[in-house]
Amino acid sequence: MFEPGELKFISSSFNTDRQTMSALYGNKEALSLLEGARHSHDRVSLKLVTYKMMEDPQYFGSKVNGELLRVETVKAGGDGKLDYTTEYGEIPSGESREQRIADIMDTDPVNFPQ
Amino acid sequence: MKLLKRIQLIPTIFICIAVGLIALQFFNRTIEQKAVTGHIRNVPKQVQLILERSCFNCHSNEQRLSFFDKIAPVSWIVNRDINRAREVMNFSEWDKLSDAEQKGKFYAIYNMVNAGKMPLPSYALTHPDSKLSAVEVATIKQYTLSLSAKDGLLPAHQGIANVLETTADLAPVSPNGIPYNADFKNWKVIGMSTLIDNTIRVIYGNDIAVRAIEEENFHPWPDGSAVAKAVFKQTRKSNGDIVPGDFVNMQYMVKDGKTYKETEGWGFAKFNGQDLKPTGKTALFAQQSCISCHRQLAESTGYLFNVPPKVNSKRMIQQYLKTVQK
Repeated sequence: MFEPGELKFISSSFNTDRQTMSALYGNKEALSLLEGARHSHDRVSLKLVTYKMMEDPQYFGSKVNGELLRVETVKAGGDGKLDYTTEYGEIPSGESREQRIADIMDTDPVNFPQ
Repeated sequence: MKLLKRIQLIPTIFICIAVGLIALQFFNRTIEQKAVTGHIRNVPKQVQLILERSCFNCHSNEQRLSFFDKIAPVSWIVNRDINRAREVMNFSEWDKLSDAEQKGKFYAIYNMVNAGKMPLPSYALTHPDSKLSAVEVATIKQYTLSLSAKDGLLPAHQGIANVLETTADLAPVSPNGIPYNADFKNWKVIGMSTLIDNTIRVIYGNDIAVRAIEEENFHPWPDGSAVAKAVFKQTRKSNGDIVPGDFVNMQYMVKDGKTYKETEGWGFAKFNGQDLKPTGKTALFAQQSCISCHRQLAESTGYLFNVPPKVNSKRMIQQYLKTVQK
């Protein structure tokens, strides 16, 4: 289990081509930004945690998150822009930091009935 | 002399048993007759034959019961099993299920027959024809996989225009008294899963459950442990990622060994759709449906489907934390 600290779960995803599964965590400023309720990057903090996708040992046909592959962060920088770092693992091959930021920021928070 | 007296007693015993059985028939009830609303369609003939032979006698409205099944007290057990089976899956009302639900049901069918949980061993004992051979189990598996080979992605998430403003006081309540607990969204995510081409799920655990997982102390799970699984339709993004779309349901389990004795100490609840409609007509719904599948996980995970695999070991997370602290 991943310990996100003060950050809250925002959304998940999986990719069958890459065989990965990810969870995006963020603070309330990040959540508000992704929901479209604010436009400033101030104090935004996001963390994308990516795992290998593996067969569910308990249920045939299901896939679950397996081995931890990487942890990427996107944070508000001093110049009003967003900074990208990899805290663990490597940036996906062939992708730039700008692409990774764009990909992470293109996330809709999960939508619950209440 | 004693032997002679005993031999003379035998007819008397038989007569008593016969009279008793006849008397029981006055308390006999036939199974409720229900209409066929829609059969399963576009299924290969060999799969259809397996289902009809092994499953239909309980999981349908078209029973072909033997004379023996209709005699009390056997009929009481048969009627109870049929009522439970119909609630879980009914091949005579297959049209009531969405495509995604039908696909999900076939994964459930395969997992149950593969684990030897279905047909029920007690039923198979008296109905040996219902047993599935290894080849038939493989046939079910092949058909189930073929369903996922098709592009089953559901329509893109349209957004929820009018999010329901349900207050805590108006929270929906399961028939067994378990209320919808919206606070699960603040719990720790203990795992993610997907049924490919069907749904995407996020599993949350409360503090007690999280601690039990971290300490691998879940045989049994401590009272107060609670796990919530949020299920969503799938939406594909332009970069190929599959992400959660519309909310489907929230499945909830809470451990209380004293309150839920009939279901191995676990209380079950399921809240469906945007109005969070609770599953089940009576408080007995979990006994009649949920626990039968969860029992196959008794030894491995203490009845839960979504305990994180050990591959996400404490060692790996500690290694990550060391990297961050450098």
